[in-house]
Amino acid sequence: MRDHAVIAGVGFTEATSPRRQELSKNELCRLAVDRALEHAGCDRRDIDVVIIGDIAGFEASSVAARTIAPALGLPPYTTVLPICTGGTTGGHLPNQAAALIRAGFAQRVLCVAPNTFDGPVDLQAVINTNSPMVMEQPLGMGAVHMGAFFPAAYQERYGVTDADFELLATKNRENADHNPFAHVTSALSAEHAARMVSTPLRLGMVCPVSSGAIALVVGAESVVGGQAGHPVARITAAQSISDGYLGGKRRDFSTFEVVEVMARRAYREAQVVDPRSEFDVVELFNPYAPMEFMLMEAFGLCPYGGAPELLRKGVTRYGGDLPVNLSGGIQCTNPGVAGQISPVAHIATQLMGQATARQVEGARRGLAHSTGGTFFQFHTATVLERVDL
Amino acid sequence: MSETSTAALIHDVRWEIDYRVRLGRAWSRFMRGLRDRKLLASTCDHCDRTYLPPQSYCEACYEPITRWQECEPVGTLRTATIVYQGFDGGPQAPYAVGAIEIDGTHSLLMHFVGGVDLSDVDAARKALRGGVRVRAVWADERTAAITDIAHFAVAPAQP
Repeated sequence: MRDHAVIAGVGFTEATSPRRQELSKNELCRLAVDRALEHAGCDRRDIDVVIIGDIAGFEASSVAARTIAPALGLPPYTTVLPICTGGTTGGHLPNQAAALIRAGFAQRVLCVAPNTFDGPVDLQAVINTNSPMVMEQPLGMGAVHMGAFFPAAYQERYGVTDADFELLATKNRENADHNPFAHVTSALSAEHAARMVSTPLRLGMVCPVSSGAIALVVGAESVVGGQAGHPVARITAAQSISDGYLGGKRRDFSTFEVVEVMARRAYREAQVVDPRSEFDVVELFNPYAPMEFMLMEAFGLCPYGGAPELLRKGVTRYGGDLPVNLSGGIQCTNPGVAGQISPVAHIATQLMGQATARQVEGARRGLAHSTGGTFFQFHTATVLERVDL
Repeated sequence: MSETSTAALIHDVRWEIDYRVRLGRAWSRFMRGLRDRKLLASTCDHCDRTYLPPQSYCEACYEPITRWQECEPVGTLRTATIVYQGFDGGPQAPYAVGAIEIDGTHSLLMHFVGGVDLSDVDAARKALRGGVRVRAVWADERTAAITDIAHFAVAPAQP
């Protein structure tokens, strides 16, 4: 019988700066996995498949999943699936788990999102290997500079001000104050936050490099749903989409055109008619704060150019009727693959009534988005709904 | 007596690896064109989309591309960012990078943008708005690489 896929357990580790991390990658992943299994009320011996996220070239050895999988205490011969999209890997893990469960291939899937940004001594040098070599890489564009093209074009097209972007970044840091797993909070000094990095992005709008891991237990609803002892989060849509490789393929940096297409697919799959009123809580991948505005618009949560007004009216803040990035988002915490899965993890805990940050009372349906890759080549969307069993 | 500590140890791991990347037919022809101060684009036989950088097949309709043309190295700046914080091994900040639509093409070429004083950030941002016309400035020493174009210079305002 075909079954729904549900997230039954979520395990976070505290995010720190890489300098302060005392655990090895295997120890950190094991800690996140132990917490996720306990949360799900699931025995590690019952896991059928483990999916482990990876970013090629970001580790001192290739394919870290090979070393992590044996450290998790899973049964011998457990199927190990490493996933590496070179961006938004973490967002793909629960979606792939849902595909395996819906297909009847597995009943309990463990998703492991390791810390992947804290290995390289010079992370930027490694990220540069991710940028289009030969054609665009020699042109002085690191990750943040590629990220700056989008808000630069958005700002110009819709007349959005630097002050709107700064208000947004401040909102997210204040949200992070309530998230014990966040890295950067409102403790960031105003002087530091205002420093221009690459127009229009200032330091306070740009994510830190964090260390931390996240694990999820995703299972067949009829099998794991009753074991958790708390509501679970049913995956009602799991979509992904890709864009061109070269930055120049974007044509128009003022919108995330492919996200609009992906959102339509996701809403059809989850039977969402009016996203603005039907979502109780939203987490959008925002390593650069202004992306939150652009993604809200591409996801149809407001008209194009209309997102700053929702922020100013308080709609997207805690207490508003469409809170966005209550975790503080990636802008405040970015441990690589763990960062990419975190929107799904935070939404799942919100729907379980056990939010990591401030809880939206009675939250029933949420949207989680992730993206990555050069010039945001890949995006994922996951729609989740609370199920009481 | 040896010291007893529970603090985490960190070991350095270093790889020194060089790679060779084959550019393929389309990009080899494009890069050799740059060496000769020629900006070459390719146009899809099927849908007439013109690509710069050129391609040997069309990403939109997947048809092979055989038509090539030389473009005047002028275009319109669509988006730019001014970099005030670069990275180790990169150019000295500040510098500007832009997405440029070369006249007659249907893709964007990413490149350095010059000819604007970047010391005043507000004035520089105004000068590098979308719609500004730019022209390629060729590097003196050319090696069949994308940097054979030194940068695209913002055209002086018409009198």
